[in-house]
Amino acid sequence: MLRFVDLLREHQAMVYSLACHALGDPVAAEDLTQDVFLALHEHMDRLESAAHAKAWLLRVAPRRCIDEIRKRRHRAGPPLEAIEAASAPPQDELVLREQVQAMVRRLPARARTVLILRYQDGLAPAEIASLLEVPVETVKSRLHRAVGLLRGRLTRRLAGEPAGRKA
Amino acid sequence: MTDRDRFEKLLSESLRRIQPPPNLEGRILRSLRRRQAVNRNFWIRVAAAVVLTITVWFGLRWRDERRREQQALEIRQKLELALRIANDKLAEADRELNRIGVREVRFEEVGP
Repeated sequence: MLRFVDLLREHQAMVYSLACHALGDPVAAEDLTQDVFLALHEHMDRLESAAHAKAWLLRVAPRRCIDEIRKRRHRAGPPLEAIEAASAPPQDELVLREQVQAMVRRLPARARTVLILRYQDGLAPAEIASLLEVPVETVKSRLHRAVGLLRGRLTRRLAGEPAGRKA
Repeated sequence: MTDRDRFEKLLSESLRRIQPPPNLEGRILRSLRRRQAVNRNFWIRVAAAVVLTITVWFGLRWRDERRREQQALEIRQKLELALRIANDKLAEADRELNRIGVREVRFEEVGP
């Protein structure tokens, strides 16, 4: 017998983290996580197992993130170039990670979500394709493009850094 | 480790799981309870509306039925009165006929 509280305890971090990385706004991420779990509660009678519930969350949460990103597009932050120009050169790994996170948040909604599912949850392209109901090749191409874009921008950003500090 | 591997490692570290605030679970459960209470109140209102509608419908039907019964009673009383008056008149006519010695009345004689 599936218990909602158990599913909430087990998967809230997964959903919250996905939303947090995708939206870059902890308050909005909390709201989105709450909405996703309230929707999960309405589907409890149709869920057969814990694995089914996790799959449901992994299917619904990224879609909600994509919808929310699109809704918030008009309130988007500064362009990527501005982030790169305004930020101080990364002094340590923490700053570097924050810059990568900011760059990820400037990616298009679907590419951003695919990248987070791949690198946060370690999902294979085939699993992501199944969750988002798109061809595997599309996922691979989005990943390839997103990683290439981020890598290029970060490499340019770090070009002036001393040797050994490059990512 | 190649540049690509290093970059993928950096991506994994940058996008590693963020722990939710400790009060998120409580907030979601409270919100769920509020929603359930709202749903429960909604169904209570629906049930009350259904009961009220049925009660009003039966009440109106009962009132119509009582009104019809009352009308039927009044008509019956009027009919009984009319029959009693007609009976008295017939008895009076019969007595008058007996008094003048008429024993038999043909229908042709009393017709229009």
